[in-house]
Amino acid sequence: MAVLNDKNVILDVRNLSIDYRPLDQAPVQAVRNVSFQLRQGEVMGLVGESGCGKTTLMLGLMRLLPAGGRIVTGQVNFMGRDLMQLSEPEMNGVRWKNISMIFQGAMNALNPVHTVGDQIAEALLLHTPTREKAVLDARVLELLDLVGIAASRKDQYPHQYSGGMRQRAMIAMALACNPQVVIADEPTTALDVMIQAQILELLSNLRRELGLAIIFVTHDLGVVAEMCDAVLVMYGGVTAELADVDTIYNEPAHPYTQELLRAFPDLTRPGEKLTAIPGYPPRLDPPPPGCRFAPRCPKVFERCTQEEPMLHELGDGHVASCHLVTT
Amino acid sequence: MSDSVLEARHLRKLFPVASGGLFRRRPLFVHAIDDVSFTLGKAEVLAVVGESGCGKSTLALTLLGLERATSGQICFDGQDITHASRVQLNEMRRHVQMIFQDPYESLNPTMTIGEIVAEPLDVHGLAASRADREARVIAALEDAGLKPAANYLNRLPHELSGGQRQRVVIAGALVLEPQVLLADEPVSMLDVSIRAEILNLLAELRQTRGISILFITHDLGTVGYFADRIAVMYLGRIVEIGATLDVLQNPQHPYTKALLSVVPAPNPRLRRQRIILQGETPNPIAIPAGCRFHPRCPVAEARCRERDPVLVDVGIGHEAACLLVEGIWDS
Repeated sequence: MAVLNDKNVILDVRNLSIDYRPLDQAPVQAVRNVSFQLRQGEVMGLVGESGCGKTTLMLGLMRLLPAGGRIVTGQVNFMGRDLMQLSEPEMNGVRWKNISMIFQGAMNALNPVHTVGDQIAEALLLHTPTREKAVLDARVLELLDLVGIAASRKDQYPHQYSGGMRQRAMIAMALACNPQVVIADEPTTALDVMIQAQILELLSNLRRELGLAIIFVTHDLGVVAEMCDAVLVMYGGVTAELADVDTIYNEPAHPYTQELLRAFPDLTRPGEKLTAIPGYPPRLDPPPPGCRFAPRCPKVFERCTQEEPMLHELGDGHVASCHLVTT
Repeated sequence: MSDSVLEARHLRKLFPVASGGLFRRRPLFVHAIDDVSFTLGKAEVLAVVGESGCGKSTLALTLLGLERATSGQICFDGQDITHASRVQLNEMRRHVQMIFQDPYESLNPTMTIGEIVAEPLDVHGLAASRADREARVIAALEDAGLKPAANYLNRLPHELSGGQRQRVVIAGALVLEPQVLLADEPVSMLDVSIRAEILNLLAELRQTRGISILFITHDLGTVGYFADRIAVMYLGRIVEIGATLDVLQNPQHPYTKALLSVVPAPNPRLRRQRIILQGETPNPIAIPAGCRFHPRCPVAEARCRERDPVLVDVGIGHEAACLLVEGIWDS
């Protein structure tokens, strides 16, 4: 884990809160006061169960929230600018050029009637001044090579690609404009383990070669342990715990992190019993009083149902929101 | 394991592919399952592990008679059911039930949970009376962990979470009191916190009801927890089979070793050398000559291109099909 060095911070998210306001219904407090920093070349894992707000948080900082989604408070500082204050055209210049995203289920997001090469060229055209075909072609081939797709497959259509290759093509598109930050939302979830390993290896290489910072959104704790430097664990829209990867796995402070780890199968300990986390994540319209994890927490005590725990600093870059760690 | 409940002997399933026109003499076939033999004992959990396209789902469909075997034999409870009539197959399916992968799509959205779980009883004409029917449905729901069942009977699938839906699917199988469950990726669509719950439920059913389970998955990570034995499939064939601990801790086939090495370990201190196979599983229409794994095998030798290895003993009840391990173990 790199020593804290603010010069290397390229993305600094502070107290971001996001609501969804469905018509005629109570607002859903999807994300509350989430803060984190991402350094150059760093991979941060963002983990939590379905509905914990991980995708909303990412869409929020890209300002791509669906209708009804609204940023309530917070700053997203990227290279000296607060993205939340930019005009829409300015923000458009940041998307793809500086921060790009590999969407969940992206393998099926390719347009079936255009060749893969044309689709990558389209991403280039939207954001780079050049119109010269030779320049574009050269760049497309360079990108394909970067993600391990043979040049001969440039003019093929998505259906001629396997799932793993389509995911590689999506990564090539995300890299088209040389972004500094890539957000990868469940990029390997639908893939076989061997193909997943190939994609993870590719992302690790890209990070090393290009100095990319990656936010890796996933519910697979194994992938996070394998790939990430830091981990943000979210629960019910709030930060449960944030620390470097070794601390999260070996000295987790928040009971939710601990339970999540015990629910995850570990091949190195076969025969051990898995423990499920009983119950379900809370509704957020509005969330229950006190700690959001209290109804499912094995260590719950009186204070947890009455008072919401604040984020408490436990050490260098290690924070957790639990009453047990504040005493 | 004592008596076998379900057994496959030299099972083969070929699918003809649309032939390539006037001049093609021989039609082409997809070799979905190519000479697969195994036994599933009473109350045993056998995990069948492999990547997409290795034939593991076709294996389940063939065992159920939903696809007819091209050759070989399937025995259920000592009876050869390979060429059973439809009536005989229906009778057999009471005892061998399948659990599919996607709990979001395998439940009829317009039926209540009670109706969904009762439907198999109606299909097989098993309920003696209305009261008997309801009692069986309630027992199945509670065995599947939906307690108290009365709270669920009149609800619709969309009112339930993913984990609860998968429990309904399991209840629909349990209501027939089957001897065997064929579970095709039963947890791969579920969140981690819920996966453990469903795996524990299956483990419990094996213990309390003595149900045998064929657990089909691409995720080696989950099998260590409750499978007794593991069969690893590659391109339609079992390349290694043995007791879970033997296969996990002492894998013999290079494919098993590679698969194990890429299962992410949930601790950064356990990061290890991964054996990443390049490319993807070859087309099962054109199976490579010799050992079918040789084009991707990191340790292949010249002879691997010529001879197709068969399963040989590499330990007690542990077999692997690789020329490099032949003769290393003599009983």
